[in-house]
Amino acid sequence: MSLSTTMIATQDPAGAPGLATGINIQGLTKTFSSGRKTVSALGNIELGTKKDSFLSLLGPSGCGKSTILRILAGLETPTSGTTAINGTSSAEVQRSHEIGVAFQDAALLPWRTVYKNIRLPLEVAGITPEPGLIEDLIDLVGLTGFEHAKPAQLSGGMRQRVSIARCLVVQPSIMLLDEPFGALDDMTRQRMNVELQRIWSEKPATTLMVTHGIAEAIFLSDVVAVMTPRPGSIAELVEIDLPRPRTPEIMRSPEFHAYHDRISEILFGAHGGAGTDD
Amino acid sequence: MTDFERELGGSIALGAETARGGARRRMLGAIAGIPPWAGAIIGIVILIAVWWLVAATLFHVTGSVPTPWQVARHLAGALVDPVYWEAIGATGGAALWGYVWGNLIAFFLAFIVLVAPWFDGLATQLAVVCSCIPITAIAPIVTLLSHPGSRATSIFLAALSVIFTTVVGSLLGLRAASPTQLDVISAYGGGRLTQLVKVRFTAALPSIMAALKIAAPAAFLGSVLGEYFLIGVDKGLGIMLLAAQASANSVSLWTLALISGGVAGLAYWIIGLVGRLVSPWSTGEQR
Repeated sequence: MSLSTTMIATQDPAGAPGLATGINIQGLTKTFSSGRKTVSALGNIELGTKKDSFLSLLGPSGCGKSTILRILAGLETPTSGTTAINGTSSAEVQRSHEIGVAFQDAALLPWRTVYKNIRLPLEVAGITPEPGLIEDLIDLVGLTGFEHAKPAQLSGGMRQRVSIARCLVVQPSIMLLDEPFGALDDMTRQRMNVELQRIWSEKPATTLMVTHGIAEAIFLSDVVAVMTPRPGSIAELVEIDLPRPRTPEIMRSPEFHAYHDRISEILFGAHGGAGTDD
Repeated sequence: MTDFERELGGSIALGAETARGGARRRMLGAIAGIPPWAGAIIGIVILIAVWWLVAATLFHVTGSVPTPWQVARHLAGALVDPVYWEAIGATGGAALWGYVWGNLIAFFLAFIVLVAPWFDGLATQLAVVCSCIPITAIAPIVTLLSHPGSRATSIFLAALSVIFTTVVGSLLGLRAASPTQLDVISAYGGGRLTQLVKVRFTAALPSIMAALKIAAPAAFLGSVLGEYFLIGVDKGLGIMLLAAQASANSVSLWTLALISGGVAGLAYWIIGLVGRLVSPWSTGEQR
């Protein structure tokens, strides 16, 4: 397998440190053991991206994309290898409170209002919010008027917006998004992607998003890393050279379709039709 | 976990589930086409009719099942009789102390599990033992150990009756937080203590409250039963039950049974109300 290198990402971060100023993953492996069985989830991941770029990990379920994200977030420890984002290790990143995370499950606390759910990361970090910060975020994600609503009163899409606002409240220089809109219906999901694109363009951060939606990955990303099934490895990096800000119209352009075809071929063609979920 | 325990855990979870069943109740009512309170009234009317029928036919001669009218008249008299109120106070007081002690012990066991997760199996085993010991066998032992005139046996049985449900409910509650909710705390640099304070304690409240609700009538039953073994004590619903049985006073027996049921039901209702106040999100009510 040839190592692909683009203008903003590389599969050889050690050899091209200039392309690994954002995400920098070297020699990363992860094996899970249950009883006597050991399962290799990740086989030697090498990946680097530039600071403030948007990277999507795309691949069949079970290929270890979420595991990479969880290791970067410091929620799992790697079996071997090193990871760093913006020049600091995952543990340091966690302590520096510069990381924002969002998962497929909004995981809001049902007893807290929208406002207090968004404030949660600051409470954990022991930071007093600047006046107006949380109000601005609520406005940014379009939830003005729902500050004091409880999660049970919100729709799935609104809850996910709260989760995005909660991710942004620490004013992150790093964002880790694990299928943030994966549980939403297609229409809501597309609208949320447009909003996320707008928010991210206003305040870029080194971002890693895990997804198995090809169109979503192309629409949002600077570079898409297409992964192979277990043990997960990166098949190819595809740089998405579409102008920003991107609008839904771009999804009907020939360039967009060309990217879609190319990534589909990597996913389904070259590897004997690796199974995907959707 | 034993099957038995899982079953009881299930029933507590069911309690927590039905606690958020405002919509569910409405749905069930809608199926029958009548409001839920009307269903309750119809149920009571049917129950009283069957009771009356049985009293008037099968037990007409012996009178061991008095008619609802006889019991109602006796109950009306009892409710203005200070003797009954003193008995309710004495038995209820012992039940309350047993409830407090039993729950403290149960919370302590759950707390140990929280600090040292390997204690989980042992804690549930202890709780199962508490619920499996025949309390009529342990009551005489407690009575022998305590001073004449003390209500120790009542308090002990009440405590014993609540430990199991509260332990199971608390352990269930401590597992109630979703892994993602805990991940969010970790990702922002929070440790185990922050997870506990910000997420797990509050997430545990609904199932703890559901367990406390079930435990309240159990404590009262334990207290009444304990009075059967007390020495040198002359007040209490259990003691009045014994006296009524000795004199074959069926009307009095039925009245006492109704009073006991009423007090136990009231305790259940009050704790349920407190539960809805401290964990409104579990009811699905919009606040």
